[in-house]
Amino acid sequence: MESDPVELLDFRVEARQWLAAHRFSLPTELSARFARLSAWQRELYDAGYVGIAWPIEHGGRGLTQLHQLALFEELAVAQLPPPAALVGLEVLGPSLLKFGSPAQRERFLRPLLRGDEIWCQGFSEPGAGSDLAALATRARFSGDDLVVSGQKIWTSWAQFSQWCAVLVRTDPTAAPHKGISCVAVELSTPGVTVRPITQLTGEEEFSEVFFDEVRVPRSNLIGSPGDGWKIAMDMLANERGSFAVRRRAEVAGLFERALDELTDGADLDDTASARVGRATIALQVMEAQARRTADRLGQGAGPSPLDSVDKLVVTELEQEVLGCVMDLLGPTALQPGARPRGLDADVWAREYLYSRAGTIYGGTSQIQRNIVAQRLLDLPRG
Amino acid sequence: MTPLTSDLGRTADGYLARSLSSERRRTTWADDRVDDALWKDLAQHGWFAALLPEEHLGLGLGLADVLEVFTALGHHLLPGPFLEHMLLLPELAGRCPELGSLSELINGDRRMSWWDPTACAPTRPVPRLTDDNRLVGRLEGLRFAQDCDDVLVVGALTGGEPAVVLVSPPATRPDSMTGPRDGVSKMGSLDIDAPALTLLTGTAASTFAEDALALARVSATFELSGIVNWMVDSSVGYAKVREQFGAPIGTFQVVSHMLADCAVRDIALRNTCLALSEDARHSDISRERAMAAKAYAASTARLVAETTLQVHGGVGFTQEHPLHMYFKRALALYAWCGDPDRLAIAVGRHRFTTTAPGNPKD
Repeated sequence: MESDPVELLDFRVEARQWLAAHRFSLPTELSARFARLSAWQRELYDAGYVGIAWPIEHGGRGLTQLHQLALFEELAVAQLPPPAALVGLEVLGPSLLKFGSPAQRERFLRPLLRGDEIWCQGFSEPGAGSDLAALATRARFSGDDLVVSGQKIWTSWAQFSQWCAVLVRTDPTAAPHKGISCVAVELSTPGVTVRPITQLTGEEEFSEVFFDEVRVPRSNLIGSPGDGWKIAMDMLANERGSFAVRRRAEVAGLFERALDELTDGADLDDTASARVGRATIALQVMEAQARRTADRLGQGAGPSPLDSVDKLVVTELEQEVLGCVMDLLGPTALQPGARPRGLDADVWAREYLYSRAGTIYGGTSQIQRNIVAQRLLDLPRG
Repeated sequence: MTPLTSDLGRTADGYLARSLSSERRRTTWADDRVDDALWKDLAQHGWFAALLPEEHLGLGLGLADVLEVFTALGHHLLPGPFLEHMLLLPELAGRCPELGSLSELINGDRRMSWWDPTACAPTRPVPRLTDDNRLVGRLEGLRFAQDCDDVLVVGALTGGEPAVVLVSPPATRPDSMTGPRDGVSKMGSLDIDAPALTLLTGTAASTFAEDALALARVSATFELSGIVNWMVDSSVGYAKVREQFGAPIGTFQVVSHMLADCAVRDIALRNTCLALSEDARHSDISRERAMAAKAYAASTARLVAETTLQVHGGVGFTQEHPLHMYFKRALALYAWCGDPDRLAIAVGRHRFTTTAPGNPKD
């Protein structure tokens, strides 16, 4: 961005040049794709592009969050994917840095950064989605261990992960928010079963994870017993914080490609022009929003209701943009074998369908509206 | 009111909060006239000198410094040819040396209104410039038709040749030239047959016409942001005090979610304005960006106006409540200089023609 300070601009230019020299295309088959993404993470790590804002003593580069955001934007411009361990890097890792013991930081952070160990997030359950505090997965203390039993769902990339940060109920007698703890579970531990779920888009990005009397060392508790809710809120805020900047850059990149591939050089009629125009306007609004998010993150601002505003703005406008892409497919969408326009071509229809999840994951738009209403507008709670 | 970030914006907001009581706002709206006393006071305070180059005794400030004044004008709902005097005249003064002699116009002693056929009534005939430099015809959709001393007419006036001319309508005009006093558009029409001072012709004229339209759209974006902010404040305030079924109506999720949606749009529009100010400061606001911003501002304002009315219920539907003025002003700005649908088509066409690989992107 023109308003970047000089050293941030230098970083951006350096990153852009490096990325341009390391282009590749991802295999479509999921295991092969994940293996390539892991290798990509190692390449990025060796070049100094992972954990950019993390402390140097834990394998990071000690720069600022703005540098990290700049890298996400450059990845999107280069049409390259983010590292495999995005959840670990952006969501769990920062919370481990904050709440983990020195021994845990020493043990977990560097392998997480390098991509040697992949982490997933064990939060939601079939009966605890929007109402996360209703979670029921139990962990009872037994000697030097915790014994975990229950079920998690929507656990992204669990089938490729080695570790899971699991929210468990350690004190069923306490008020729902207070009786929750967070524990790191090694997924190869006996009693853990991972069952991938096929998404609407056809991929198996997330899984159910079953815990059947799984013994976990007490030293794997992150923070103290009862800290789970605080840690979970911190992780969710991490998720929302950089999301707006990163996702906007990804959607802008997708739209560029879509216009190149789908408009065929023919003149657009008024209807199509209006649609492209509304999508363009949406992207400019998202960009204006992302500037203020970057400001807040750059100033070290903590979680706030403005994160919910960001999520609402970005996901609902993303749906406007991908909705436009869907409309540009036109009647050839139904032509068997049509690429890239065909509904079955697994290209643009897939991106459109994936955009519909934006208003569901990371806290539904309805939950975000509750947060805006209660914490930003100060409206009374029911 | 969401805090403004620029000095002039904050000053304008403070001044209007002190000077424009709700009663004065109501009578100014109902009378459909520029508040003369306020106008003179603002001129004396140097509002119209902000962007003027120093050789015209101005402050020589930049566009980014003054845009939030329009947010304040929207929030407090003060009508007047501020676009013309704060943005267009300085732009013209820079391109037109003879304008410097028209000091009464520059300092606000005479009021100028801008008329571009594409801004309001694109299908109506444009007036014609005669061989002896008279402008003859009808100006449909003229802002402040009753209150302007001069009209800046831009467009293809002489058989397709673009020109920018200044005309002075007769001092007394029939009442019937404007719409009903409590009209929605606040636009009038004027039959003109008067000597015209030609300021620009040819390419210089068409460039100015495009730039003026872009400035109008940007000023409308900021003004609509102020209007939206007022409406959100009004609705949220109302939802906290109006009780039904034993509780403030803001307690009910269906209402709180409507308000959350409006608040999110308010913030996004405000951030759009901040981004425009940054662009004005660091480089330029492109014409396409001005169109896109205005389209978003207009659709936001309409959505928020409709929702605000819904939240206020019956009382919002009366003229007892100031909402009706803000709603109508939003509607007028919605249609002015291109509504969101037409602007979207133009933005889409432009986007499409610059999307081929290797072509410059916005």
